[in-house]
Amino acid sequence: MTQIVTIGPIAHHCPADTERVDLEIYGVDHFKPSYAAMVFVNDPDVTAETATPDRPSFAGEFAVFGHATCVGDEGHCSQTKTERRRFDTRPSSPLTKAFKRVTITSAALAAAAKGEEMTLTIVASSGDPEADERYAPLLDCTGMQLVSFG
Amino acid sequence: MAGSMVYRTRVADLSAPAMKRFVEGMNKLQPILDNRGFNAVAGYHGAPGWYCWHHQRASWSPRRAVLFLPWHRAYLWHLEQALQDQMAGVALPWWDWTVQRDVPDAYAQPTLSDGAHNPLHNFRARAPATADNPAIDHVTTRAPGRNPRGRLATSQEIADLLKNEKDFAAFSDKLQDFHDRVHVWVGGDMGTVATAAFDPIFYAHHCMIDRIWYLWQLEHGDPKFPQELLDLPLQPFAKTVKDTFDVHDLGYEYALSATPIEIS
Repeated sequence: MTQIVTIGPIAHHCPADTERVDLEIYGVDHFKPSYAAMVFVNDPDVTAETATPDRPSFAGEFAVFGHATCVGDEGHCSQTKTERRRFDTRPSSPLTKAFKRVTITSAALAAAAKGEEMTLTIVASSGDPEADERYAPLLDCTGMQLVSFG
Repeated sequence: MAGSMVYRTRVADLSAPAMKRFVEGMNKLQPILDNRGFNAVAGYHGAPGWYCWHHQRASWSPRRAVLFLPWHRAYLWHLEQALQDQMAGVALPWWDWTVQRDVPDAYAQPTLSDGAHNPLHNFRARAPATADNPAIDHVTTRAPGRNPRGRLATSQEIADLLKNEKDFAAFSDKLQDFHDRVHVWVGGDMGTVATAAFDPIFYAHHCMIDRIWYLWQLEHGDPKFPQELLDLPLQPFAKTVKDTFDVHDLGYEYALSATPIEIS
């Protein structure tokens, strides 16, 4: 089943000289099937069927190239700890949580112009309803941040 | 020409002789199952090697998250060298998915014009069993466009990216996202990190990504990495991060078309 998550309202200030607004997503778990997601602003009623880029509330989209299942031995896919021994400078596990950036400038500035707080609705799907359910939630992250740049 | 720099050109614009050489090179490389062959090289990316840099792989230093492009450039170089071991002068082609909005014919057709198996269509992926999982041993498949939310980036989006993103980290993040979308769109083995590189189209897709970085470098120069990252080895290749900055040092460049002329 398509994952739909709504976050907010968020009181994000966009100064008058804002040229770009990014939604930063931290700690994205990509031990999931690959999926694509769309972001909508102030449109909590959007559904799996109505989530399209031509919807006026559409703000941006992103995709995650996922690992899905483990093909190693026990523990192979659980080496995501961030503490390191002093001399262990090897790259960390490929499953170290990811960072995603979605530029949502137009939708964010439109909301700001109306003096509205923002709700973000994210619609994510792997294209396989069974996989969506088995790996729910597809979008699993530790935090998000809205950032305005001049 | 043997020993010379090669030009990587768009799949759709590859001359018939160049395509023939590329296919012949793949036909020679794919049956080799030792460390020189396609299966071994494909296994560096996901299973069983797991060397690829996609997302953050060194969370104690956020700057280390942006080695996606250098690692894959070294990876393409390694495969191109392995191909040239089999067929002199072969260059990897790039799939321009901003123009060609479907899997290119050269990769979509199961057979060649003479009825033989097309080595660009699929590949029998093999990786050893582990204690908890069976061996990987299957012929790769694709499911292009099956995820209705998967969307290929447009030429305008790439043009905007090249023009507007002056900071390498931001550019790399966005380009990586466009890259992720292609993996989602192609689907099948390409949709999973473990097996994506066993599908021959993986390399045409990544040449496109590498070419976009090359175009960005022409406009904005080399990325500004901290010194400790410049000398970081990109495993398992004998290349450091800074070794990947100049494509000429890796023996190739990008062009729209190239026609070698034989002088008798």
